[in-house]
Amino acid sequence: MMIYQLNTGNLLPFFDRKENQIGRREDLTCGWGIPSPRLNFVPFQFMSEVAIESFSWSYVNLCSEESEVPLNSSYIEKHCSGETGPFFLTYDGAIIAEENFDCGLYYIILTVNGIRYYSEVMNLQVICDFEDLDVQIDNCQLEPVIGGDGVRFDFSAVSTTPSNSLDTLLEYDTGSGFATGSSFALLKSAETAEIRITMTTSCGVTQKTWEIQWDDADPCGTYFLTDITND
Amino acid sequence: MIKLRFSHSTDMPGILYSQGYEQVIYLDAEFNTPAITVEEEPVTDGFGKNIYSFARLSLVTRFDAVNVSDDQLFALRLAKYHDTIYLKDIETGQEFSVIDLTVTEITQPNRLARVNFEAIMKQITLTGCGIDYNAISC
Repeated sequence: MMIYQLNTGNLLPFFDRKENQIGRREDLTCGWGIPSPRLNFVPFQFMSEVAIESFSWSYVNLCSEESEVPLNSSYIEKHCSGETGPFFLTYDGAIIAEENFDCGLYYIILTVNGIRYYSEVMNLQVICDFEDLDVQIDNCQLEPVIGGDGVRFDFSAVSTTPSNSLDTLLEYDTGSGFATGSSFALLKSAETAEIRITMTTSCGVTQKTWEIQWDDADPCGTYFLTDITND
Repeated sequence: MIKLRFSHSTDMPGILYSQGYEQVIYLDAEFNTPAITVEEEPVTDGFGKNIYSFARLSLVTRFDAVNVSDDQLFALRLAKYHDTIYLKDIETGQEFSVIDLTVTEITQPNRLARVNFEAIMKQITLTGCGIDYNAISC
């Protein structure tokens, strides 16, 4: 049995040349890759015995290998264990916010001190990992604008996971049913309203609802935000 | 599909875990119904009654994953020596901590292996010493 993997012990193998990828070695005809969620890659670590002076990474779609797309290096963290090493590069599997990968076969090229290393091929696909789907909003993301006949809240700064979800619908209800929009008016302090955020991803729909109540006794603009999704 | 993730509180040769690194693999597999395994050491007293000085009951799940690269087998074999191991059913979202993980593989001519996983999910060990929680009414 030949040993090809350079980063022994890691679940995403790296090789010194792409011909060592198992699909090429075994002639699997473009049909195999390590399963990976569509928005990110499998976490990996790469150890170097010599100091890492420079590094970068990029990805290649196996079906159009002439195109190599650079990735933001901030996703990879460099660690040093003393002056003599070893030295490590770590990618923790974070969602690549700048990209919206189509399903398919991809591999990574990691360039360390000018030398290129090739990952095993990954099969990016829709894997509905529930922990990665969420919609969140908190008081800090609600922007109260005081004036006119009441208070308007702009809640367009909602955050979603994954951040590059396919679609996000913002709705509010002041008593006459939900309407699309990112702000609404509260006319009296005793009134409440609901905001509803619906995120659509490849894995379906995630929806959360909050109740909001303005406290006009506080000139600084205090308000209460309560998650009522499961009520 | 099953997600396996593992990490360790200290570094391992060639792998830096102390900075929070966690390994993840998605396996083309489904959980089998868990089974209960029993280990016991009975002794018979003078009245012919069995007394158990040791017994261990384990809830074990087994499953087979297919199409695993043989380059990944070393890391999978290494997984059981990690102090934090989780398995998750992607379909239901249910995740549980793994007490022990045994991995055996059958390599195939195309070097995509079939891998058998045996994971202990829960375990209770009884000894002759017994347990006293010193509970009081409250």
